[in-house]
Amino acid sequence: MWKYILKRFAMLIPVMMGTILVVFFIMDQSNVDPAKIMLGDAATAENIAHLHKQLGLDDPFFVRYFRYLGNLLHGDLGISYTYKTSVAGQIASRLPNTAILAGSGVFLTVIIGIPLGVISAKHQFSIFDNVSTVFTLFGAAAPAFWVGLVLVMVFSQHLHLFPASGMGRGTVGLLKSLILPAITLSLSGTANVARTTRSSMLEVIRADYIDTARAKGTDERTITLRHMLRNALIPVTTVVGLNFGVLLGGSVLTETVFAWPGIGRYVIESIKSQDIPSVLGCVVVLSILFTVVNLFVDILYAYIDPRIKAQYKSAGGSK
Amino acid sequence: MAFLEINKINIDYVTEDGVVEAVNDIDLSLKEGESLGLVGETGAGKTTLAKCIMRILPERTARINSGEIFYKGTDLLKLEPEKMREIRGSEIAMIFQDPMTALNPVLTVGEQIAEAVQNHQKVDDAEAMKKAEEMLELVGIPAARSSEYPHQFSGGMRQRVVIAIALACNPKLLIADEPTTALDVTIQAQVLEMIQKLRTQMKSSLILITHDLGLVAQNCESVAVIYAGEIVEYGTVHDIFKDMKHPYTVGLFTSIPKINEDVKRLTPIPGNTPDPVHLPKGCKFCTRCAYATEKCQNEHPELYQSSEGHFVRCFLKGQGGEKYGKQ
Repeated sequence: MWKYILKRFAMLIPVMMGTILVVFFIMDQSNVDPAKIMLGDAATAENIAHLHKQLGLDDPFFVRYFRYLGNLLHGDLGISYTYKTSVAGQIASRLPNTAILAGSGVFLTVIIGIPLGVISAKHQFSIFDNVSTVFTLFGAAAPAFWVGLVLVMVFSQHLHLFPASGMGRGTVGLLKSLILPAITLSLSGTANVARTTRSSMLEVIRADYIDTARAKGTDERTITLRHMLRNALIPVTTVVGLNFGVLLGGSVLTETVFAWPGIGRYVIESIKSQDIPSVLGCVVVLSILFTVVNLFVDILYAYIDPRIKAQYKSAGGSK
Repeated sequence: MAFLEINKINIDYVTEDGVVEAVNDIDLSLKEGESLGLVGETGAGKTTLAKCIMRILPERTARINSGEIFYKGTDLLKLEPEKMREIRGSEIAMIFQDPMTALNPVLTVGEQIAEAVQNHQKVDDAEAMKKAEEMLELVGIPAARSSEYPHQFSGGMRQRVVIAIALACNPKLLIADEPTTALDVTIQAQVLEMIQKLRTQMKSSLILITHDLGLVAQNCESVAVIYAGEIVEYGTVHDIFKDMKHPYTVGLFTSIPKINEDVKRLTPIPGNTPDPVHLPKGCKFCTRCAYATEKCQNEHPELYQSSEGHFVRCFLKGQGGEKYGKQ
């Protein structure tokens, strides 16, 4: 098992190198001259040329790429053009905010989506099931920025229950400001998780081992939670894991709508101000997060399904 | 008071293609310690009847239209769900057909047996697990394997686990639904021998569902032959094997190849089981019966008594006999 996890961590290296290569290449093609941005409109051609030399901007593409990777190993993501401070520092100050938002998003997705799917499957074609189906279709179809705006209109403009934007201070303030963005962010994920849970529960509900469990006198609650849900949870775990990636991407939109001081908004700001090191840094950090979450999900499988654990063991032991 | 008495049970399945009459007017009774064989083709309604006794029929599609199932004097069909849950596993237990799918893949076999124990006895986890290990040893699996998962066992071993689950609480009635169909022949013999041995130890009654007449001859005292959801012949093993009456029963026997004869081809019963949505109006076997008359096609035969304790649902073979009935 540990061998497998180590192997997967080793796999992170080529994946990250590839991701950075792609982003680095796109940024290189953008025709933005960082020196001009840093020096402003008043810069002379001489000053610009001097800065080019200083930053190594005229070096070949791969030299700059590997220099970036080398710096990355030391945790150095470069200097932000706009803030004139280290990108790593900028990200570090915003990452917790994004983590809070994405974390609450995942939390809502799981605690609403899974029970919704379970109850729908247990009472297939009931009124509850139909209402939940409508809700999940709506949730999956409604775009996040629109939902965000509607929520702001209703709950902060009219009802004055929650702040329209920003991040509140103190526990109560934070929670109040967190609710609307978290709902916006998690809506489509909740819908996906509910639908996946429902369909995988429906598959399990008619399994022979459910008859066995019933025949030995197990009560309905234990049958649902211990026998059905645990077996139905494997595809759901996949969706929650993938959904985390969607949440990170969605946080860009949601953070912009709600002026949430996280990485998502930082990316947008940096793109607008053509702050290449910041954009690169954000993409790198987000990709690492996404890959690590996926690895975590894969490890989680092993704890849900012993058959997968056996596979991991043999995969890890083969070398 | 009979130990188990089934009166005029009717079960339908509501499907998109129409209503399937799975079980029609089945009457059966079983004495304590007795063993009864239910014989019939796939789709005859044997498993449906068994699940009905356990009350684990699929709620959405299955419909019990009428009938009573008295177990030690109480009608199981009228019991509250919680009372019925207490009976399942402790009084009446069931061994399922396919050991490959009857066990939960994500729980260890020990956990699955221990759960059966804890459903009915107030014991802590450690004690339940100890009991589970004892059960495993009883069915011939080392106790040390209790922490393994179903996928680590062979088919025969899994069936032993299924049996261990069923017997964990010493049930008074054991329903074995084709317990050996999914196993190869050598394992079949072992598994049945084990069921027989454990049953005698625990003094349980047995309902053995099978399409294998050989199994019935070895393990049962009485036999009910079921065709298209109804009993066509009922009697002791001796009655059925030595003096079979119903053309369907005869067909079942002649379709078994004999080891002492040079058989080039099997002798099947001609035709297929009738479409359960559109059963024939008269005798349900008339479409495949070599002796069918016009009467057979139009009138539905009762279960006639041809000799003491031997009943047959046939105008021709049962003629002159008294009608079966407890009234």
